[in-house]
Amino acid sequence: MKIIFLILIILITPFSLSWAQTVQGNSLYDYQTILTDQDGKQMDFNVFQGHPVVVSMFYASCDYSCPLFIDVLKKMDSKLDSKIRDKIRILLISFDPAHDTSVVLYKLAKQHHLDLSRWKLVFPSKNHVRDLAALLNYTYRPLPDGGFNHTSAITLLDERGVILHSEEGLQNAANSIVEILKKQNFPFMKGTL
Amino acid sequence: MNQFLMIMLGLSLTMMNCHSGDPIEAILTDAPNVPPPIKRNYPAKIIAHLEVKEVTRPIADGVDYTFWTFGGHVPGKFIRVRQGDTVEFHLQNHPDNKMPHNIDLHAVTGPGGGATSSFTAPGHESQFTFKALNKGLYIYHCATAPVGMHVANGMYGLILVEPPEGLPPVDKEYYIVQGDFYTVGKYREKGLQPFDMQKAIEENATYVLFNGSEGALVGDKAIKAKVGETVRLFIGNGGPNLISSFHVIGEVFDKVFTEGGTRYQENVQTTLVPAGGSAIVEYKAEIPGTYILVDHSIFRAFNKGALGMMKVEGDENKAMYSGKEVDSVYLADKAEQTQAIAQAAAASKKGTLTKEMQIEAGKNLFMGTCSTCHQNNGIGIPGVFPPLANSDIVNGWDKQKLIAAILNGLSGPIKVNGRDYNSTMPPMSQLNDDEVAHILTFVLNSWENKGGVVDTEEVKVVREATLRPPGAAK
Amino acid sequence: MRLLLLAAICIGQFGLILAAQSAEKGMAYVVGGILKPFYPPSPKEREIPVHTFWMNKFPVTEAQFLQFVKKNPQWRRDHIKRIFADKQYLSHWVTPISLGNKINGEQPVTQVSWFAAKAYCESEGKRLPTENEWEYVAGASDKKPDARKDLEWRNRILDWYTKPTPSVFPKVGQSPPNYWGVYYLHGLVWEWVLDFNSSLVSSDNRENATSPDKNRFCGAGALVATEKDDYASFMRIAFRTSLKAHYTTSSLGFRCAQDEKKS
Repeated sequence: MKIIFLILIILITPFSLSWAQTVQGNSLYDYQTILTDQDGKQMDFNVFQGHPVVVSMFYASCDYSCPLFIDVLKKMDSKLDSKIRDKIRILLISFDPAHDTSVVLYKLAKQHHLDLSRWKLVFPSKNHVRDLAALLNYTYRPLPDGGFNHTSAITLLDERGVILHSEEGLQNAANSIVEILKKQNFPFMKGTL
Repeated sequence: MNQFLMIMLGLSLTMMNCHSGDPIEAILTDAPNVPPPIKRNYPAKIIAHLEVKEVTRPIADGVDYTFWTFGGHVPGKFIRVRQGDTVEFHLQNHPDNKMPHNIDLHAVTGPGGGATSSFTAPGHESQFTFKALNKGLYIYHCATAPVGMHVANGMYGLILVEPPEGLPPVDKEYYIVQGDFYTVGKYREKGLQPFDMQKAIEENATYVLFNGSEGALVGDKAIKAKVGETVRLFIGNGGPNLISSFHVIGEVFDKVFTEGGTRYQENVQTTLVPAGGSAIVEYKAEIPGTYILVDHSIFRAFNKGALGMMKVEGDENKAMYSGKEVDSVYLADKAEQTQAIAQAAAASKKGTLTKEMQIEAGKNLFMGTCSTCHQNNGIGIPGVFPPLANSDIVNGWDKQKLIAAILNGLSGPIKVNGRDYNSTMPPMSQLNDDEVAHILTFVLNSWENKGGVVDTEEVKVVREATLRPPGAAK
Repeated sequence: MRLLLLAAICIGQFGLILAAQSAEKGMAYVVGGILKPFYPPSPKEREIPVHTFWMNKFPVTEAQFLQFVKKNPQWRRDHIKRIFADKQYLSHWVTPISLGNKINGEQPVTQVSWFAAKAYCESEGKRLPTENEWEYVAGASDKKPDARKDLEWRNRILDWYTKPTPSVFPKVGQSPPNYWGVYYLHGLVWEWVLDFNSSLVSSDNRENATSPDKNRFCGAGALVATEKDDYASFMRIAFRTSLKAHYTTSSLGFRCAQDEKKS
């Protein structure tokens, strides 16, 4: 009897955890802003609501770690079980709306062969960059030469836009997210969304 | 087969439940107390909550300082875990605090010893988890910019990682951490004293203290043991700058686990404790009496406060020791002194102060402050330090001039009892008005001097009439 | 009776107009120049140009923020979205729309998040000052625009940083202004800046002695302190880097700024 009880607790725990998180209602989608994607299409920040979303910020002219950054995300994506991968969306937001136009973002997407049915490269309006960085716990600073100094982090949002995980350091963050997606029992896997 | 699997599963689940399933809230203690030894024979998940508080409290009698603390006191709370334990650490930064803080535990293997994961704004909490891989006694401290200042304000403590088999049982365990402090005012200068960054950079400590305040381990607060008991001291040194030469007067350490590590040395008189390091000291209390704990860089003990006491109670053992207490010499200017002075201070407040009380308090203040130069019997040293006994200056000058000499010092050529002197007496303005009055009353009524009384008001008037450079004691 | 009421309303409105005017007057004109940061973000940025701008003479007060919250109920503590402010947001007020007896309306407002501070300034057609602007103005003593080499002045500032937060804040504007006519950048409360999240200082300060962690940061930028003993500016940087945009603390307030052309 005790054993069954224990098993029950162990089975139930992941559910109760994910419920507790959504009950707090810290959805980033409460922040409203318009984004423009690589096709020049305008959309709300919550464009991927209903899907777990991997979000990260970048700027296209960064020649040191940004190419690496997309590779890390692609590798993370490839490690996911295909059933999960189909549900996941990936949203990359530019720090640099002055330079990262739809044309630039489209080129970058093609260069890296990104699956644009699941990936979006977007730029926000100039006045909303810092808000988005603040919401995603990014530290960034424009440099005199036009580039940016910034932390590299990856954030995982649940279907409602609540942060499930956010971690600095690309490689570690990507590994953590793969692990979380393996373990986490999302409502979508039960067909609730 | 199925049944067998179920049993195996059940077994492993039960084991998980008892071994690492139930997290244990860590017992944390304030110095000089140590949490009880760990009786567990398996690694567990430990949850530790440590709250950072910025508090203003006495650093010495009549002197306040704003300490930054792990848990409200200096040193921070003692943490005790077992090797192999997984520690879920919660660092809480109290909402009333002004500064962000973090924690670097030297017991942690990982970037910054936890500092990167625990950086916390006021009114917030950080959580990180580490595995206690190495046994030993480790310092923890704050590592927020400016690191030196956070440490100098008292942000350090000890974490003990016990070996799986535990430490050998002893009768008493105590927790003592030395630290150096830097204040704008000089040693024992009254009032709220701010941190002095220049002195800290120059490593010119105003105070060197055990457990964060002068008197934290003396009188009623002395650590205690009975004859025949084995005592274990967990010694840390928070720094920020000074290395401690830790010594207990009249005691030989049977064992010292140097630098808090695995091996021990035997029969040690004095052990070095590095800044940001530790030592475990064990000895048997053999002879009753009061034992003095010092940093044997000895000016720190008698002029900067690095002094504590251990009281051993029990029957005398004449075969081992003849009976004259070792502390009588050292305590002449400490323990007895404070009693007479405290009595005088209380009487002064109540308005029942007598000349006799003043003389008694003055005598105790004189011994230890003035007697260094003027000698216990007031005769001074001919040609170097002028005499106060039967002195034409003491008997010839008016009270105002005598008070001013103490408050402002004296330097340059002077003739006393027919002999020429030319040296410098430093200003003693750190003494409060009561203390100056007591000392002068004592001097006037000793060694065939003319007699009389100096009261607090008279000192106050002279002090207020004297201009002082900015930053000096008033 | 009705007359009296009317009179009261008139006086009330007149008061509002007066307040609006003094808000305009409540800004100091800061002539641009060069900021030499204590902690240059990169070797190329030892001298940073600061444009001429306007800055509020005083931190925003409790009473002013209360008015803002009443006009913009989405910023009430019982309406605000958690992503914009933590649970401590305005928790010292007696109700979501009243300060209570214990708080003097002229004290600087604290327990406000970056999002709320930013929204307040934007509601007045202003913005938060940038870190460089704030530090530029904060480097002035009452006599000199750049007093940061003045040891005595530096020590006076340090004094505040070493004291715990008082239970009751003094009223805004009880000590003389600095060279620019700005009051109380030091000695009252910490203040939000627009780009509080721009310092790429590791949360473990000791790492910054060498180069920044390449894994964490994109782009170059060795952090070099030019004045290692300026503890006050060290502490400001440490404080800012400990914040997240939704955080509030009992010693953190803000003031607003404005570009030159708008005034």
